Amino acid sequence: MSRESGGSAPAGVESSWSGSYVRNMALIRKSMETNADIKLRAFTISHGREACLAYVDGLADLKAIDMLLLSKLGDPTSDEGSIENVELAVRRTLPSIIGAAWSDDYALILNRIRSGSTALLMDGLSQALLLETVKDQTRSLEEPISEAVLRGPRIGFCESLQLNTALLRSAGEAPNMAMEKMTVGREIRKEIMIVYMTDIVRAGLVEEVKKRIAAIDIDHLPESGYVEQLVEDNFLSPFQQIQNTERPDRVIAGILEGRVGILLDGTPFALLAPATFSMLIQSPEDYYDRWLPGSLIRLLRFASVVICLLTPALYIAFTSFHPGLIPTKLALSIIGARQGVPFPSLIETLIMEVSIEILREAGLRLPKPIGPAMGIVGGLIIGDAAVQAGIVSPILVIVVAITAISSFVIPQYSAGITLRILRFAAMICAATFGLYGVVLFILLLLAHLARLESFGVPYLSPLVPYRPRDWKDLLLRLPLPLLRKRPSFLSPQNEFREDNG
Amino acid sequence: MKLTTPQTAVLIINYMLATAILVLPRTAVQEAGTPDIWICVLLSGLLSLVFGLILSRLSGLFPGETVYQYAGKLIGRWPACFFGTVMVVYFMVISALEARSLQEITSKFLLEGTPGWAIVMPFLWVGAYLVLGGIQPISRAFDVIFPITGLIFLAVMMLSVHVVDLHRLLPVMGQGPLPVLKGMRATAFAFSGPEIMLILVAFMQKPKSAGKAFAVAVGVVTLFYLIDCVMTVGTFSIDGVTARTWPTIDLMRSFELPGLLFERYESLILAIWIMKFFSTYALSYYASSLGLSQLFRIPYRTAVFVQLPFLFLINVLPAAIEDVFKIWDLLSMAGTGFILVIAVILLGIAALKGIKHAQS
Amino acid sequence: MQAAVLAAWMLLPSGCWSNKEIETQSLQIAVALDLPHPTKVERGLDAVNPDRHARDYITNTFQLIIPGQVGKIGGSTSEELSTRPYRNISQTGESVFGNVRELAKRISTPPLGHHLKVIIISDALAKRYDIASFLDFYFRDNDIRLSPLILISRGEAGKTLESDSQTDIPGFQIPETVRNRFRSNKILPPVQSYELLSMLRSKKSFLLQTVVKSDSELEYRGAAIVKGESGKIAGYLSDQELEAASWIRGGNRRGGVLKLGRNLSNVPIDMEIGSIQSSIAAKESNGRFHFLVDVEGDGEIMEDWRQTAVGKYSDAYYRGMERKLEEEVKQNIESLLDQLQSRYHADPLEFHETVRRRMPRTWKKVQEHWDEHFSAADVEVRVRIHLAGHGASELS
Repeated sequence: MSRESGGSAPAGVESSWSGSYVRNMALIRKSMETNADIKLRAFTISHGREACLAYVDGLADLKAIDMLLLSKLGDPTSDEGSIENVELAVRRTLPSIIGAAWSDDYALILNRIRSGSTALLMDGLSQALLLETVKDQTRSLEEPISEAVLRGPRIGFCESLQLNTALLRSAGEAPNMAMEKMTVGREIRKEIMIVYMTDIVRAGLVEEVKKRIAAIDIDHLPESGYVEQLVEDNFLSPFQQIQNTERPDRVIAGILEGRVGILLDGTPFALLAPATFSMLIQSPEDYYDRWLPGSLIRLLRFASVVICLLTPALYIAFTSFHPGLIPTKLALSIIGARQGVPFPSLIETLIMEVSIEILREAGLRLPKPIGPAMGIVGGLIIGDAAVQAGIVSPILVIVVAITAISSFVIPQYSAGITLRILRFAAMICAATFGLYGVVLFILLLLAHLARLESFGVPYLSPLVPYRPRDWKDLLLRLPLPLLRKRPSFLSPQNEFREDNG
Repeated sequence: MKLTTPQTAVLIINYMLATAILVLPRTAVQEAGTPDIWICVLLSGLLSLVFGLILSRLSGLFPGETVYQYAGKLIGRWPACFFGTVMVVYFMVISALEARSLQEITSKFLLEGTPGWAIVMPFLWVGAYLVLGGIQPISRAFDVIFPITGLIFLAVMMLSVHVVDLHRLLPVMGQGPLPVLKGMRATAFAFSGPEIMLILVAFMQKPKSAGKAFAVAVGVVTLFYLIDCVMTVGTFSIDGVTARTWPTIDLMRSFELPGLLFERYESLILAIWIMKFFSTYALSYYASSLGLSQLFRIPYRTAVFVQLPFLFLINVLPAAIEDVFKIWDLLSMAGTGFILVIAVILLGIAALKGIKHAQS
Repeated sequence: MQAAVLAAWMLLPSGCWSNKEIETQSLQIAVALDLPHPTKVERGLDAVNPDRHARDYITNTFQLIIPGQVGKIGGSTSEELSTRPYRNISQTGESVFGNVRELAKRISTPPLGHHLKVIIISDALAKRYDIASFLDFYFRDNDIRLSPLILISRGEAGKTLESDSQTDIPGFQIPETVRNRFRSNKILPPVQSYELLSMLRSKKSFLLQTVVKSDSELEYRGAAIVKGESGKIAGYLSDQELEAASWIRGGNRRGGVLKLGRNLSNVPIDMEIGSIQSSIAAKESNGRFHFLVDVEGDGEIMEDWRQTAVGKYSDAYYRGMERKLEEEVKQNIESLLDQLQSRYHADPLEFHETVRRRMPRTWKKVQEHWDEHFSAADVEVRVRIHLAGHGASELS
């Protein structure tokens, strides 16, 4: 049973709860003028006592109310015992219902009703009983669409914070898993849960996270994306500094490394801070498969990142600036392919790349059955038609296709977006200075990444500074028996995953 | 966060490997006249090691302080200020010359029509961006650049094995030791870099390991130079190598491996070397910014920005690449020499004053 | 903020400088250098608008792959190319660089030097001028790499770039023939630009492969001797002499064929060479050099027209064969050395390397006029040959 102070009550109404049943009911009725979704149900219990329930229909679980509450209140027709006994009985038994709390704070009561609790007012009781009856509003647990894996649990978070934290707890007995609650938002207040392992996480990290969240000053947080943007280190950077995921297993893995998980009520996307660039390449299923496929696929992903970023830029650089640096036969192929193409390679590439991006975005919005087909059909037809019409060269179509496909390999969708943006920047650099431009671009990117930090952790960890221990899990995924220590860049308190003794 | 020992080693390596490696075979053979330059390389490495250890020891006596800060304690404020200024100018000139070398190479091999200033300005700006972050981001960036450039360099060098005829390196010491000594005049400048220890040690986690870091760094650098010299002279022989301005790049251009992905590998080498130039430039820029900031008590950011126009000016001063080489020569002899001499003097004074252990 | 302004300012004239699309240039894959002889086209051009210049030194014939005619080289297509995928253009003028730049006036797609694969020099040109002089451009230009193959052509170099075939491009074919070295020891190790550069600067004599054109076929045949001091051609080696030279050079030369000459056998007997080890030892006394060439080769009998007559191959037969082969090689080598010492006074086989490496102090004294010292030297030749087997034939 908890007592909290409530929020604001409607102005102009006598806001004090009194001992009078009638007056309290009137208070509630008055509030229903501006809160028309509150319902009041009056009834009689034993000995002719009046009682009523106040709740929001749709939010409160009516079945629960019926079953639990009224059965405990006793047979309305019976007049056994004295009314005092009934009161005593009520006082004793009702609180045993889970989530019951007494209150005489009108503002609190109103807030709780609006949040889905049911208030029980009884003639003769000065306080109201608040019952947690929030109906589960969510859909069933499904695999997250954006983070599908081939092997692994097919569970994703849902929109209810309670259920999400429950999912985390259901991973197993975790005496050190701590969950701290914070509330954010001025007009619409939401709950945020911060999750971490007390024996692993660096103490300062939790403090920093809580400090930044507490500093959020906004009217409403509809999605964790807002939290991310308001809390991250560098909002100008194209790189994500906080990871987001719909998968509980990702969150668990994260906190076991020493990260902090942030769950926001109302969204299935949980956050993990801090984040580093390695999240571009890693995916939970790397661990569920054996180390050899895990390592090779990671290497493939890494190669895809490089390909996705640099291929169009390199095509532009070599075609427009340095035809002498490519193999002769390839140069001849490109020359042949570019016969009749009216545009310089930059424009040609931009046309194709932008078209692909348009197709991609369009595919997202279309209804499910059409979406994927549209993407494929659109790509094929448009690409082919463009080649036939002589607008682009066939080699470019290959380049663009490879680029597009490699970008899908990246496990984190938001990281994929980053690369897509950077790809265009690389193309422009290549178009201005050729290969030199590409190198400058890489250097600029490197400089930016070197300067970027997320919650005090350098973004380029675990690659640099050189900590060979951390490399075992970066590009390759070494066999589990070798991964006994936690990554050191998060400065965990406890280095070993297993019992060292 | 302080620099770890491996980080320091990487910083030193990236700092020392720059223009020199592209011209070293030629300059060394020009001085020595024999194919013994690889011996020169080894000896110069040792020499450099000695100096580096001396300077590390000196800086190790004042943990947490760069030479700009502790020199005053040893020789008085005004001489230290003068010495510090000399060092700042030295670093600035190095930065500018690295940028200029980059401009020359890029202009010659990659972008013929582009005016020099257009090539150099973005380079200067990107460097400034990195330097603004301080030593930690610089170190992290170097940690990424080093393995990439190092591995690719070694790989491409290995590819050139089939055009190399090691017999061209014979005879060993055929003309006696004199050519070796003459050759060292050129190789010594390739190893100029120990002076950076006067700055770096201040940021190390374990200043006592500074010497170790330097030793490892010099070892790696020596290895690179060795491979470079052996491969280039082995391909061109001493007669051919003196005919080329950039022998190492020409080594890359002397073979084609049809079918093997790139076929021609000079593009890779050029890309790598742009990154290497960048790293030397960045660290040197940092050293001079730090100096300005610490000596004249101006904020670090200002120090960084204020240098840009000067860097650009120095950059455009030399009229042709030959002038650049002449300045390099002068710089390495006079500049490095001066700094080293002063540093040894400082160490001597410290010993005289009885400062044997680290001052906290 | 400043970065944004600067970036915007820099990107506006983006791509204006070094940007040249690949299809606006033609790939120059081969070039032939001849003594000046203006073509009909050029004479026609001169007739209309005469050019005032001092004198012509050289004719360049460029083999270019013109973008418009590339079609789909290398791709799979059933299109027939109506014209050849390449074009030879000759330009006569005062200098090589001048000739190259003249092309900018004659075709719309100027040549790209990066992909040059082979440089063919006419022997007449190399006899008249120091090779280093007219090749200077090809060493200096920063686009042209140091990888092209260098060949001497007996006769007009420009003609070697012509071919009747519709699909083969001489510029590609000619250097690729070098790869057949493992089948013939009459093909010299390829001399590429970078190596030529070193050899020219060292002022030592060397050999360059010659190619001969007959009708429309081109063959690698023999070599030219370039004298170190002058950089000009002093003479030629025949195919047989070249083979002898390859024995002296040694170095695991697989696949060559050694035939017994007429004086040792009246029917053809051939041995396929497995490998050749060769070492040259040098001694000096009283200013005179004494060389010992020690050659050891092994191989298999590949063709023996006396096979049926011989019957079973006995040990004695083998030994006899080996002796004959050794004599053959020795005779060839000695006759080659005779030519080199008496007639050409040149050491293109790098006897000097032995002196340079083993006796550096002596070398310092003699390196100036090495060719003369070599011509006066004594050379002793020792040959040993081991026959391993006789192919897949066995007679009972």
